[in-house]
Amino acid sequence: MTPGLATLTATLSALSLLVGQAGIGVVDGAILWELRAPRTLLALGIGAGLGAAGAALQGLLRNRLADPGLLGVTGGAPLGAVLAYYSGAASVASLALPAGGLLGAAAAAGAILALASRTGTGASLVLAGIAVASLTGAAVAVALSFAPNPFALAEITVWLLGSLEDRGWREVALALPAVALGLALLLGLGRRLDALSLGEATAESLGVDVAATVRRTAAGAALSVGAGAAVAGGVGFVGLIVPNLLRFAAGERPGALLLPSALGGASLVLAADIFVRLLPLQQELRLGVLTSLLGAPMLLQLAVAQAGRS
Amino acid sequence: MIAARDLVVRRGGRRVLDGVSLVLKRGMLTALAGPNGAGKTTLLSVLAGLLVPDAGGVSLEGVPLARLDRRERARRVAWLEQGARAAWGITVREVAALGRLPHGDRGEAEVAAALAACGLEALAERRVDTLSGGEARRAMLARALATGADALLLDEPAADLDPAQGFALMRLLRREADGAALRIVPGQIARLEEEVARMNGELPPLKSFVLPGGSPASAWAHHARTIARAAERATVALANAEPVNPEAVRYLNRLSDHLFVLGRWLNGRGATEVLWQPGATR
Repeated sequence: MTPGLATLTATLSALSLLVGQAGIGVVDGAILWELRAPRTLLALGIGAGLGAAGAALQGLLRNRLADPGLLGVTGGAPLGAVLAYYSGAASVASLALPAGGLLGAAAAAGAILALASRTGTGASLVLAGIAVASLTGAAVAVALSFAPNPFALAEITVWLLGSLEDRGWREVALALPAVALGLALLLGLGRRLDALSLGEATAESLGVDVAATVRRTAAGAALSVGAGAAVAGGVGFVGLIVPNLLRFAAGERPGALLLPSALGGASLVLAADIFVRLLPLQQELRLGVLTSLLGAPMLLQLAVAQAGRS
Repeated sequence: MIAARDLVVRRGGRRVLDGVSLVLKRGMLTALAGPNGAGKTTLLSVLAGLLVPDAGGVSLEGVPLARLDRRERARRVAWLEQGARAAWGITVREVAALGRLPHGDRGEAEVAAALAACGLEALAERRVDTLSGGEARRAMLARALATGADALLLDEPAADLDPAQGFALMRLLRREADGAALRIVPGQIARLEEEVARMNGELPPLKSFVLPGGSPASAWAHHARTIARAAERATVALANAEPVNPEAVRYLNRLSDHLFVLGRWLNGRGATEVLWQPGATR
């Protein structure tokens, strides 16, 4: 399973380097290095972070519908970016938007962690996440409704849709270290998540520090997903869909799903990003829109299949 | 040896445990009896080190439980949660292997032995979410056994088990407590009375603690019921294997008369539990 997914990820990475508006194949060293390479790396990192975070959160909460987006982890990034935009910082430094997104994601993650740590259970993490997600969502809506001019509104809205277009090495440097740290935290959770399949009390009786596991999962998910959202905007449904698809092939043990989900997430985002570049449209289709377009029917199909099984 | 002293647990302004002290010795099977809400599950959680009491403390071989590293505690005390179930479709073998988590090894021999003890060899590769309630319950029990802990704290281990499996569980636990092999119930009616008499003889070392809200009579009722159920399960197990022998029916009738009288006697002394309902265990 894992070797196959690794091969798929590697193939798609190579393909991503060879595809673009300038044409198929190695057209120009500068295009390859300045445009396609950072874009490929970001797609890899963001996808892997989303996949692993989704698998870890679903394992932690024992619920296949858990998604990094629903848990507020991604909510802070757009708010931070919107504030950076309105404060005028974005017109001074082009890095202000992703930097604001990163700060926003960190603030949201801090709030979720602080709230969830008080009781240290998965349920409290969900509650904290939903609270933060609604709050940041409302704050973004407030900011948008007070947009200084229609252009600002349009620009911010497009940013929120999520894309990897024109992202360069600066964005890579900004996001990927945090994504890598988050992935390292998440991928080491395997056996603890396995124990949590039997419930929090039984996991505790098996020597698992459940409160620490909740904190580590939340921190890992926030880092790996928040940093990605800060540079690429919202990329929906990947964290939800990938672990659920892989459960059919890799089995349902949460620990065995982490690495395949990271690879699967990377493959899915790479494939979606290649696809949006290949579409012959005037304006590039937004990556986040495409993943949601693909994800929603998959989710529906999954829900129907599950209802049919029980 | 687990020793608990003066345990107090408060929940919502109520003292769920109020000064409970008890000693659980090695090689001893101890049953906790008491009406609903007496605090049986709470007491087990405290003994397993999962719930910190508001007062009093638990020690394991003289060392306070709170001072043990959580993995060390998990290696030495295995706890089976009431109604535990797996959230994902993992296999029976994977569930049992989780019992080795505190050791950090795969413990294939221990896992295989635990699966065999619970009669799960044939189901080892099945997903637990495709099993019946009783089979899933046994998978959870196998998980607790695979740890190889000094103390097994089981909360309602016989829930969902059919009579034959319930009887097998009693034998298994007795064997775990003794550390010695126990004879299997023979498939011959003539030996039934002897077998149950032996079981009767064995059960007195079973110690019953009565939690506040119960009475000594309740504990006796529980004790007697355990004997009665075991006898009934033995009969059922035999009836499954061969045609029902009139001798077995006669024996069971005699036992139920005896228990009826005992039940009247215990009810007169404040036992709150229903002692004996023939056939209720089916």
